[in-house]
Amino acid sequence: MSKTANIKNQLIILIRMIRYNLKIIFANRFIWFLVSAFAFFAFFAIQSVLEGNNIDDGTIYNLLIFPGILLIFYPSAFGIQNDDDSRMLEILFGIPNYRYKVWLVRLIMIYVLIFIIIMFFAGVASVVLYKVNIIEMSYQLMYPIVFMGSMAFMFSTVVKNGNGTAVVMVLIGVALIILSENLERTQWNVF
Amino acid sequence: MDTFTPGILLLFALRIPINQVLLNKYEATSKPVFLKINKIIKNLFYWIVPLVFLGIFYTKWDNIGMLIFVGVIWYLLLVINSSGEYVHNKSLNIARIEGRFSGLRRAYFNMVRQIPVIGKRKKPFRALNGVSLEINTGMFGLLGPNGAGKSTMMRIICGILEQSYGKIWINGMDTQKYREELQGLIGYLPQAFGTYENMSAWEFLDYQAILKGIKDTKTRDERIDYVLKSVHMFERRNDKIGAFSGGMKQRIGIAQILLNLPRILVVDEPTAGLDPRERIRFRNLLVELSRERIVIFSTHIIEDISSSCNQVAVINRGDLKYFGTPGDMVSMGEGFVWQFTIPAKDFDSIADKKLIVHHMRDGENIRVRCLSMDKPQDNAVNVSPHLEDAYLCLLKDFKKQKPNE
Repeated sequence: MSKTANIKNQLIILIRMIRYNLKIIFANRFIWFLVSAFAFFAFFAIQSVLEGNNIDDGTIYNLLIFPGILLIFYPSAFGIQNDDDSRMLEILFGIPNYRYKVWLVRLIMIYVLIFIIIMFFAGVASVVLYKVNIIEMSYQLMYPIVFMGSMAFMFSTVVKNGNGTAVVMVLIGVALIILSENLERTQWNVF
Repeated sequence: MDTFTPGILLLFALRIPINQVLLNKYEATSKPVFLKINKIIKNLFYWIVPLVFLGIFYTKWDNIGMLIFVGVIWYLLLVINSSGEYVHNKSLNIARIEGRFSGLRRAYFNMVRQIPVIGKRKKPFRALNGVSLEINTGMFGLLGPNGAGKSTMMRIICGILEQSYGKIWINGMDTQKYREELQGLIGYLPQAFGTYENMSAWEFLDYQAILKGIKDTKTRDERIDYVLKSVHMFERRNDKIGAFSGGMKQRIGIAQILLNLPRILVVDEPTAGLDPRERIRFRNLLVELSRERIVIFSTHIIEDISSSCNQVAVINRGDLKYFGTPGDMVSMGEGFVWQFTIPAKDFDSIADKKLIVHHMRDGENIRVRCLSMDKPQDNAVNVSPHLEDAYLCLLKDFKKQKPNE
């Protein structure tokens, strides 16, 4: 096989994998999370403008973190549950040599997608509120988002139930909020 | 204050020897009082220790909100854990709880049982027990009642579950050693399998083919067309899977396992829930596929076996009851199948004693076909068994109980 044909082949696989995985991960419900994330973002943005506080990089960061975590939450916590609901888990585990890579690919895709959405949000914030470096802002935001997403995914494999994972993650969130003052200046501050 | 924490830890360490001493005392004297003391100490530890720790935290932290949060979560987990233990130890049948607040208690225990790790406990049991088979090319039917171990056996063959003991060889290769290599030879369709309903048949198969490592686009497209044609679904390749009937979804499932051209197909109860026409069509498809490969399929519909399999195994409660051809299996029921007619008014008196296969009203009388080791009635005549009769005889172990027959 010639080299160009090979590259074309790889490209087709890549594009198809992205398309199929998007269909699977965000089966119809993702749009609502996107809408609500944007609504939250807009609400907090308008609020901070109305309060007339000084807006700087930190404000934008704090504005974007909540929508980001909201977006990562659904696919990572409910992904395995959805696979189980559509009774695909046993089939996926019957595929030779591929057992765990299926979900690795999906996780990476989720992160990339969230990165793009966050860039879009940051762009909006940059235009409307305060000029920030969009790429750097999104990059910095990805640290807590990837951390929370991976943690949610880990719990979903342990708890084996989407709703249970959601409860665990909410509990962790509450603990972090209660502790936020104490942890602000330590290495335990995830945000 | 800092000497306090090691003290607590010391108490913890003492718990196990104290437990042992009290148990030994009970064994020596068989006085129940020691068991009671042990239980009280255990409960003290269980419920007081968090309180002590919360007290320590109270003096060290200056965050009362966190303290309350930790306390609530800690005690909640303890309550759930102890309830789970209670259900498990008393092997409580939750559906049968009666008495005061029974509705509430049922709801609570059901909730506890759903919580993994701390609430839910499973009892291990033996699903398969020393089953030894040699399967050749063709249709291999696995027959057995619900919970007999059919699915367990299939999962072990496919390497999804690992067996605790025993070995499986495919072409002389140990499945435990060459698992990944051999899995390429096996196509497995689970009992309750699904698809991604919002994808079309073609997209779903394309996705599965990529996952199975068919990298070249041209080969993959050809392969998908081939499998869709071989399950007779090519015309509907662009329809959403969600719009398909049960039988069509089953066929898509088969198409999906055919993608990597396996030599062994393992299909777990594929005909359950299909209407007769779909079932016959699906069965014929499996026979068609079994011409050049092994098809292992499980069922509890005997018709499926008699009309398609050239090898059959019957398992019940993890034991292999029979292995051979369906034709030979019929002979297992020979001499045990009786037919007789009795007046309708006498029917009630025999109904519970014999294993009645079927009975039919015939004027004033009822014609009965039953299984029995001995002659059930004076007018009973031995008739030639069907596969169904043979199956029931095997489950009842008639042959073993009466080896001379």
